Amino acid sequence: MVTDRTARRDRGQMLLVGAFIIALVILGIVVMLNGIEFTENVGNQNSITAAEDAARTQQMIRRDLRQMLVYVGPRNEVTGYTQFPAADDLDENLTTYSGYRANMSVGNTGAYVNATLNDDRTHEGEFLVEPDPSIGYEKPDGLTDASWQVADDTHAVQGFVMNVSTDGSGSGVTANVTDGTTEWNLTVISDGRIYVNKSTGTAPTCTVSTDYVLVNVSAGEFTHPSGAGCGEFSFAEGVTRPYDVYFTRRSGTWANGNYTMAVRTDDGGMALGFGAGSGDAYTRPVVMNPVVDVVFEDSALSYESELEVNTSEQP
Amino acid sequence: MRPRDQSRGISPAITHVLTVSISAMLITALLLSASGLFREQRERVARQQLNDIGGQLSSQLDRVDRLSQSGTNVSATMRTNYPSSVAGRPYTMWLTSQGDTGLLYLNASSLGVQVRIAVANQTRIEPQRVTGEDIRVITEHSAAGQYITIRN
Repeated sequence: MVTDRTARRDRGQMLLVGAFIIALVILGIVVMLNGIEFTENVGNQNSITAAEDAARTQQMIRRDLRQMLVYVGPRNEVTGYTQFPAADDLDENLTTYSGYRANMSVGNTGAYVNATLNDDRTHEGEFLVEPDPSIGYEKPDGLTDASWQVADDTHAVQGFVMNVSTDGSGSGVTANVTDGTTEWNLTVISDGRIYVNKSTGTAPTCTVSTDYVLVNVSAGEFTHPSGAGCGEFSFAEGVTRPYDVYFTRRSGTWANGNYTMAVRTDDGGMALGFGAGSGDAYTRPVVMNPVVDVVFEDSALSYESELEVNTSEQP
Repeated sequence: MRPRDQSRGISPAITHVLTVSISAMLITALLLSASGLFREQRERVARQQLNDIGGQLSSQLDRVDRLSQSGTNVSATMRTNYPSSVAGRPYTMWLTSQGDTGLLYLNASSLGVQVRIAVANQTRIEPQRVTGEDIRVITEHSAAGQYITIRN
């Protein structure tokens, strides 16, 4: 039997050439595809969520702090509340609150949250209160001066609320603010006429027909009740800081009523209370515009900020 | 008459050389045409990926910018992670501003691809150039005021 060896050898060469071509094609494809990466998933949702959590936490602390200022400070006889607590009271309540907030945050988001009072940036002040409306705006030490000073050389007065009787039983009172050169004043006369920075010889700014008027002087608002024309006004307009505040009686007698006032003292200002006896005006140390250090920390975000609450705003 | 020899003029060696040569020419042509296609594909992928990265980073800058407005003396660091390369090539990011408008340039220079992303910012931008992968989006307070930037 004869075997065709030539044909068998040709087939082997074809296989070799085919394998070589296939290897070349695969090598070429590998070379070209090497380095090509398709779009990777670049999700960083954790950091976005953390930023939203931090912003929400900061807003909640701001809101809660505003409420805390009202509830921590002792109530007063004029407005029924105060936004000016003592530093120690605020610090103690804030520590407790921060603990609760931290526990809530760890439970909800896993983040560490802390809020502490910033003593260096929180302003110190004195809260002056005349609680007894029967004593009214008369100088508390019993002297018969026609005017007397309640705040000296201050850069800020907040919570200056005057409750003045307008039932005709007294005469009137003027609150004056002066820097030594320019003076701004507000006069309430017991018959209901009110003058904002204008002479009592002219037409009144507004007239109320109720038995009393409550004026938030530092906020420039007639809180209750208001009459025609009793809109908003600018406290101490045109007067530069620091300034003094003093009361002036009208026509020999003082108006009946009571008042409160927070005076910033850490920049050289002073509130002048007397505290001579029961019912007399007195002062107590308070914080004004407290600043709280807020910390939010989780795996994607570290956040710290100073949160200042303006105590001049109504709660 | 002897039958004609069917294998006349045919050499196995020449046959193989021709086979390999023609195959090599065809494969070379295929690779050359495919390489152009892949180059375009790579640039397109790189551009798309830079757009994705820039969009995300712009969004994170926006969040940090909002945080910087949330209080005074704000200090915040957002830790993010991005691919170290796009289409297999390294890239850089450049945060800068033009007037009040923040701009983020992402550049894969070896591919000749650059994209520009607008950044919505209220806070001043401190220009900074970084490479990909671990990036921190930062807002801090300095003597010149609050600013936002990016750092590796």
